Amino acid sequence: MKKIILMFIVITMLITPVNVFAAPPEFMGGVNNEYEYEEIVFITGEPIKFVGTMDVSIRERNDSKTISYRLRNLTPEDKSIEGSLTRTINYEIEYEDRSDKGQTIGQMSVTGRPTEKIVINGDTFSLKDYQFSKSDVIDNRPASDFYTGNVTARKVYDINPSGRTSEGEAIVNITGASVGYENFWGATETQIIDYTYDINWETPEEGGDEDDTEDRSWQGTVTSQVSDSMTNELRYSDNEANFSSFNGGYVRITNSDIVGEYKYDLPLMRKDGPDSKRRDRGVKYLSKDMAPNIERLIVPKFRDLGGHWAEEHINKLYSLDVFDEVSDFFVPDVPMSREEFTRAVIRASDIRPNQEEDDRRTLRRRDEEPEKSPFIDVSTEAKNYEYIKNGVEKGIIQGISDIEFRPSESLTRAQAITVIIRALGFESKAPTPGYSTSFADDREIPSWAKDSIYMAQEIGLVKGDNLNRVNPNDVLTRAESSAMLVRFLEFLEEDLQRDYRENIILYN
Amino acid sequence: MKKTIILILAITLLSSVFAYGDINTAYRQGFVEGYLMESIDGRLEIETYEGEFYSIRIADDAMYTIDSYFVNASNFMPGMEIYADLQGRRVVSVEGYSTSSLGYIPPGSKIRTGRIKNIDRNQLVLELANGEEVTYFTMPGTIALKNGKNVSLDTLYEGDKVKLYFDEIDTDIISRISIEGDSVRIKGLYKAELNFVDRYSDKITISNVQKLSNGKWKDVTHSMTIPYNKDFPLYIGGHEIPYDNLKYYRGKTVYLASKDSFGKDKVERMVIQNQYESTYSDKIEDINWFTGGFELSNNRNINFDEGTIVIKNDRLVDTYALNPNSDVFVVADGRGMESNADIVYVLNEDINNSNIGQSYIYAGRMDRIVEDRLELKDFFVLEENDWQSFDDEKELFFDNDTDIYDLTNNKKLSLEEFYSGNYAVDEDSSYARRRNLKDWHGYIYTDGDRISAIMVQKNMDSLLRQRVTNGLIASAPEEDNLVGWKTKITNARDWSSNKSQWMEKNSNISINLEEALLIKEGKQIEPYELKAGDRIYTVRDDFYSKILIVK
Repeated sequence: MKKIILMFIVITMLITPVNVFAAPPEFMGGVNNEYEYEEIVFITGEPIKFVGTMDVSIRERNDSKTISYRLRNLTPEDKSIEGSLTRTINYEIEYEDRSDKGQTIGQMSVTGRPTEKIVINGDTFSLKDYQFSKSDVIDNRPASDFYTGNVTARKVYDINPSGRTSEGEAIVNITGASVGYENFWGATETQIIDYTYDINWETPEEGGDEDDTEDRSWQGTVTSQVSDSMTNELRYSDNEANFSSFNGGYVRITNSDIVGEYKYDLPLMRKDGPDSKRRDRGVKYLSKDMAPNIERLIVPKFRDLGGHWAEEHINKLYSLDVFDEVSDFFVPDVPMSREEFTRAVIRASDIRPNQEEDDRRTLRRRDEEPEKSPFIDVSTEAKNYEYIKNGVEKGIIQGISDIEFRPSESLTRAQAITVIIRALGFESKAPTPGYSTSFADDREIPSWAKDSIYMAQEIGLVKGDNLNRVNPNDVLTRAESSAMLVRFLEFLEEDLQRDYRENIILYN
Repeated sequence: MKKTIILILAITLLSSVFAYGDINTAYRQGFVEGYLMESIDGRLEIETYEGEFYSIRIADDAMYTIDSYFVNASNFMPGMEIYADLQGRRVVSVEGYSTSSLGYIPPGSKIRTGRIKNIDRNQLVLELANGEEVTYFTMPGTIALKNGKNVSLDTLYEGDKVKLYFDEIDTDIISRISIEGDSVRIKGLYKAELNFVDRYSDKITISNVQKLSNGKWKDVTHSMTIPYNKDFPLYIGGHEIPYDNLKYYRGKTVYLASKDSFGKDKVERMVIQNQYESTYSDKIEDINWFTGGFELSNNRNINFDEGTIVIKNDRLVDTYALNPNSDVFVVADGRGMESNADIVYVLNEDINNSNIGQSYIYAGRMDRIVEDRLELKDFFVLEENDWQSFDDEKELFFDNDTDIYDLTNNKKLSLEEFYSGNYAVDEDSSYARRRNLKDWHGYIYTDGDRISAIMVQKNMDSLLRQRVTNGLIASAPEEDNLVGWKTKITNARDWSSNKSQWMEKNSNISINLEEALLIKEGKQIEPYELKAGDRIYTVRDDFYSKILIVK
């Protein structure tokens, strides 16, 4: 029975694709936290902020995911406006796993019958048709997934419907794109969506004949940018007590927030309808924070780090279990070995060595042929065998030759940079061959490391020394490699978030 | 038999002499280059550039590269140009060539993000996130975007945050600039007592909060919680302290420069008061870069350091943006004669944001108007915030995109109406005398010699009564039944010609926009398009604004 359960877990793990993650709710530019949802509604031609609650339910199956959004009775924040908004929409995402290319394609569509009803100061807008299509491509890289998608949709509302007739039709055309990333240290998705409002509306004139109508039609545009972001960060926390066995330690803090911005260009609305000349242009912002989540980490107690320049870096990595030395001495100034660095990068990016490998090993029958190491100098029983094997499988690191890994050989800067850039999958963004990096010692860069060193400089992971040298063939000490790993973590935590959120929204 | 053997031997020897030059050249020179004939499978089938064919065995440990990249033998395609090194009669390495555009990146894919440290015409000095400073160049084709709209490069300020796009890897010529929108502006300067520090959400709670308004600290609220940007260092008395230690300064006075972050205030820079506060509003007489200090007109010496918050045009800049003749509001921290600047707020404002801009404001009598140009006679130019008169003529050009407004008749004019109307006449002609026609006068906003917008009126105003004011629109303009469009300006400063200095007003001032030429992004706008918070530069005659530029 146990075996069957284990087999089942293994199979599920193998076939479950990587899914789309922290994403802004729905596609109308709204933001939410644990209990509240906010959205700005433009359908009357004026920006009106609605506030209320939203239920989101997500169901995941092997290669698909269903997300249901249910907005119940949102009301305008401005109490002088009478109104309500209810909306129920179910989306389904079908994933096509292209593991041969390390990519996944997600196709999103609306299922069931979406409903939406907006009432504002006595006027009702009732959704009668919703066409929607969204497609994402997810590049699954070892340290992070990067994705981008496009969306197009059309919403058609009946205005003040009564029986089979209505006063008109409101058509909202939606086109946009989204970008995002997801890794152990953070996830962000930013959507930029353009809405074109085309309202054809004739209301019966007050006090006039039955046939007298007033034209309240208008056109307008709105651009919404909304970004949902989660980051993990390490913070040092002092120990207030003196008589304690340790001084202080690190806390991992997870913060999530959604920020949004609407830029609108609408007709100026007067009591008798839209002004034909004057426009109302402006910007509205929304933002919601989730309460942070905190997690204490183990306390490092190395004896030889006090006052060392890399003390903070090493302690951080130790707290995160990236290093798990049991000795009292870290010995920061000796060279880092290839196998230790591979292990550290894999642990730092939380790429867990495939659990199924361990399971399989326990399940292995006695008559089964024992696993064979791809390298003659790394035995399957070696402490870091799984890490090396995973690193090689995922393309993060390569052997010195097809058969030799040289696990305990000292690590050079070029090797370390290459490992980190390959973990991010950025090496393919380097220029076509035949270029030089701007480092003074470009000639010293081994040809296999050139793309990685170029990209590392582009994304700000390394910079030249005082003489603008990258020193690719220098051996990296344990302290220096800790500093590089901490910078790699900062990149995953902060630089990606800035690039996917602030650098998009604030510049558009 | 013997003869036969000798014959065979002779033929063999001779044939090798004849053929030597062909089949053995490659082995002799140790390499072969040409076109690959077949996929690599143990042997290299190659046609040399000279047209010879070789089939050479490849060593088991041969190295394969394409454009210096290590590859597998299977990556080689027939037809590819290759170069192979030989040792004896074996190939030990094969290099192929495939890339046609060497060192190519997709246009615009090299990106640099940073803060503009200095602008000098086509040179932008950018401070990157890692503190490095790099000079880049704009070209006439450089595209600039701000708030998603294509704008002119002269909208750039020092202190602006930008994203620069380049088309090639080793170029320093910018192909596109995205400029951060209004979120770059410092919206508020606060003084408060530090209360709580929440390191989990990076927020502080402060009490007795005062905001700098019209040159004075004004009470805002008793307590507020505000997030801070932990990427900027925190200082006290010129010394950087880690945010982890901020909690030890509870009860101390802090100065905060806040920005708008998605609709909410966020502290961008913070400095903790070290000793006692004094404030000055004066002109910088001299700066000593060596000791890091400046002398104000009142002979007061104040030091500055890395922790000093310097704000110019509502943007954070570094101390190098200060210069002698900057008019500043200084919050100094110290005792006795020793004091350090915590905040330096530069009051100066100009028509142009940097020396990229070539905009001028003219006023004068229009002597002649033809289809595409007009001539001003005895005109005035606003120079360093004062009207300077010129006994001269000035030719300025206009086009279909020029905004023309007739203030006397309160109407927009088309190009034809303008040049065919009686706005400039020969005053001595009998036609003009009979009809009592005179030349009209205009206020003109130009980009170089090209008129962007012009407002014409029948009679000339007294320019002596006018003065220049800068500040912020306090609230969106309102249309009053009696006086028409009006608004209020806060944090206003008037230019004093006598002192050659910007003088801070200590209260909001009202201005009327009915007679004003309003300019935003080089175009004339309507009063209702002004928004609260817009930074403005205006020439006004007391209550009446004549020209108002949204900065």
